[in-house]
Amino acid sequence: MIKSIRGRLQWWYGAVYALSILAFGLLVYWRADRDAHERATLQAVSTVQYLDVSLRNVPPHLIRHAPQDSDFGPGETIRENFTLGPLPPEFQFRPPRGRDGGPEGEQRPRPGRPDFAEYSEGGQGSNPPTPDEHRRPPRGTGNEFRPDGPFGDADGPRGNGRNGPPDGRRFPPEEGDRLKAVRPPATNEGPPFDGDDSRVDRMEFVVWRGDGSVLTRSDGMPLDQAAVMPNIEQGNPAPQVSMNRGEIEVTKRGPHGSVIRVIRSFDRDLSNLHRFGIQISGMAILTLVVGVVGGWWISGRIVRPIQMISETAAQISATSLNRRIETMALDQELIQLGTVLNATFGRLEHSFARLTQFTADASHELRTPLAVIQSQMELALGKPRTPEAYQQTLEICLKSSDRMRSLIDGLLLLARTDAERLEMRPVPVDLRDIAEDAISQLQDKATAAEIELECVVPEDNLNIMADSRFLAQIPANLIDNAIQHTPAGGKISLEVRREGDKAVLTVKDTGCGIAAEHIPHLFERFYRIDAGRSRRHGGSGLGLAICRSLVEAHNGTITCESKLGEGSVFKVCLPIASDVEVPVIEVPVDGESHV
Amino acid sequence: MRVLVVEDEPDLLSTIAQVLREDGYAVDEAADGQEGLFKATSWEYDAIVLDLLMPKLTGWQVLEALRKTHKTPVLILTARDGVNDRVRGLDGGADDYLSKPFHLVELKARLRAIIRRSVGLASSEILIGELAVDTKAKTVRRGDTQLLLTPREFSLLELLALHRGQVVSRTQIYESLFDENEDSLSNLVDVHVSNLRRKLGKDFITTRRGQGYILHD
Repeated sequence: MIKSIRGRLQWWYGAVYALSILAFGLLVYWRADRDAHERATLQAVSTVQYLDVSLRNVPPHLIRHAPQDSDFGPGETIRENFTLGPLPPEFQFRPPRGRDGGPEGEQRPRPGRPDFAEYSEGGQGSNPPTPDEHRRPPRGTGNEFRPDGPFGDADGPRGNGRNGPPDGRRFPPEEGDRLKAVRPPATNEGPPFDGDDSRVDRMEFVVWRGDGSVLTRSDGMPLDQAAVMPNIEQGNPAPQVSMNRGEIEVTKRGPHGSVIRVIRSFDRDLSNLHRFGIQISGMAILTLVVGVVGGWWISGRIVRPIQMISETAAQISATSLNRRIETMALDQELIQLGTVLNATFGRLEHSFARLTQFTADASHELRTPLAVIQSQMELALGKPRTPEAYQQTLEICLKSSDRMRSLIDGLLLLARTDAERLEMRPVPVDLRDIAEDAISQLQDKATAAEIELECVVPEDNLNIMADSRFLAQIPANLIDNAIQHTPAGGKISLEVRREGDKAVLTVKDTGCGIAAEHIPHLFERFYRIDAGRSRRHGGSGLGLAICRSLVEAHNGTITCESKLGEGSVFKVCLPIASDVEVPVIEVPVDGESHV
Repeated sequence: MRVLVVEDEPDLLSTIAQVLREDGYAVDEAADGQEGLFKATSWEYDAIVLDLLMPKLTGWQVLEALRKTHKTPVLILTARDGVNDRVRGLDGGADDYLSKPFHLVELKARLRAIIRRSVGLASSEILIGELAVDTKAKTVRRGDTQLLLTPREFSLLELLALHRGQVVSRTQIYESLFDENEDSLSNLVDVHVSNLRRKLGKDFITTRRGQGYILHD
């Protein structure tokens, strides 16, 4: 299994091409094979039919049995008396020769009714000349024996030269002096075919007489195949076709008990097909190679942007989060990927920046009181000082360590709520109690700041499921915040009411208000409207962030509305426990639940 | 030497101011960026200690505004110790950077260093003839003899020594010796000059009438 896209594309590319070529080649091969068979069969059957018809013009006694002297008149010999005319051109199968004048099978005009066997008295060359012969003089001695022709065309090397045609070909000796086959005239001027005769298709025939002896046969008909007359059922006129490898054999019962057999070999076709098959295979391999190389190139181009993306992504680290993939250079399909990745990197960078900011803020908030403590101590120890100076140093140190402690508490609380590991034990709590506790807790501080603190609660109880330890921090933080931002003489009112199925707690002040652009960030950790503001007020910068975390831990929401110069309203909505009167549950104060 | 401390944490501001005063500096205090910038551009300080995160104006903004007109050496003192913050501070024109929490001795050493560098000295010991002024130990030696000077006298000598060969005006001396809270008479400068002359030799400090004082090599 190839794991790389590039490899897969490459092999697909090559394989698809190669398979296409192979499939096309196989189709062509199959068609050509079938055509060759059909053509050969048709030719063989036609030749048999023709021979059959022609034999009907031969005197029956010549066919029934081997010629006897009584068959002929005085002075008559077969040589003069019995000749076979040329086969009409459609039965002439001549393998193509390169130097052949016209296209293969150039049809000469059919020579009338060219009787296959013409019985004539004392005549020679009685076969009618073909137009070809008119056109050019017969080769050699004017003898009608021709090396070319449909029958035994390619068996040139054989022949023994006795009584044979001028080119040495002749009928088999046992029949040659009695029976003469007249070859069709030559149609080509060139020298005899001297190539590889295995590649030449041939059509051979043999006719047996009724007594089993051979009436006639073509030169190329192998002796062993002509030796035994096949046993064909009498009166079966249909030609029997059998097929061997590379040849078609058609056998038919002819007239007067004769049997005709034509063997049409198509070795040449087969070898051509073979060659074609090899060429197709070679082509397929070549295509596969070209495909693989081309696929390598094309897939390289496809994969390059992906590599570019991964290179960019690899270069992105904590210190270089601002790098982005250049989507302009990408292909259309990859632009989306690049955009998505860039957006991811953007979010990553943003959250990383927030984390860095938070760490910097937290460390800043912790370092400042630490710096105070350390420098105070160093100053005090620098030289002997008065007891008042030491006392002042200690007071400053205590104040600073208090600030650090509250900051650490806040950070821990936020960390726990972030990790959802705040060990909440929600019980039904009356929000009115929480509000009143917060008021009483901060009353002194408000009085000190000359701020009026007001508490508005409904008459009915307002139960919510909450952990009062954490819930109490919400109004306390909000009021504390309001005191810090409200000038002397101002007023802070805490109101608890019911709105639908929500318990609502609002803290309203008449302070300086918050500009609209700060409100969305108000609940972020260490978010400061003014970098130094909370410093003077002693806040940690975490109060509102803690409020939001706690409210969200109680499945509530917190919002802020504010107008600059008029004051702010913080609104906390919490789900009411149940409309049914919730019985007061005694909270177990045993040790186990606190473990 | 007169320095300005700009720091919004009141406890830290008073601590730094106190320790620098004990070291002989005249110290002005500013509790936010705006005040700091105002003071820094109103008087000639020998150095400024500047916090970064402050109300009204951040330390970077103060530095940017200050650098348009003044070359006063600035030491940034902040709890923000990220590399980026330090680079931003130094590139913004700060001369040194110290992160909180810090040691007071280090603060003092760095302050001395930036003051020294601002007048082109490489060592904390200034040699004037056979007189050696050690700005670090705040001592003056003539040969092997230690001379006893009051902090004010030493500050005056240090100022003249740092600006050796230049005329130092009376105003300059006055502003360098006394911080904003001191409402002393300007003839105190003459008193300190005459005291120094008495301890170091009559011709040690030359008076340029109508211009100020000069310390020759």
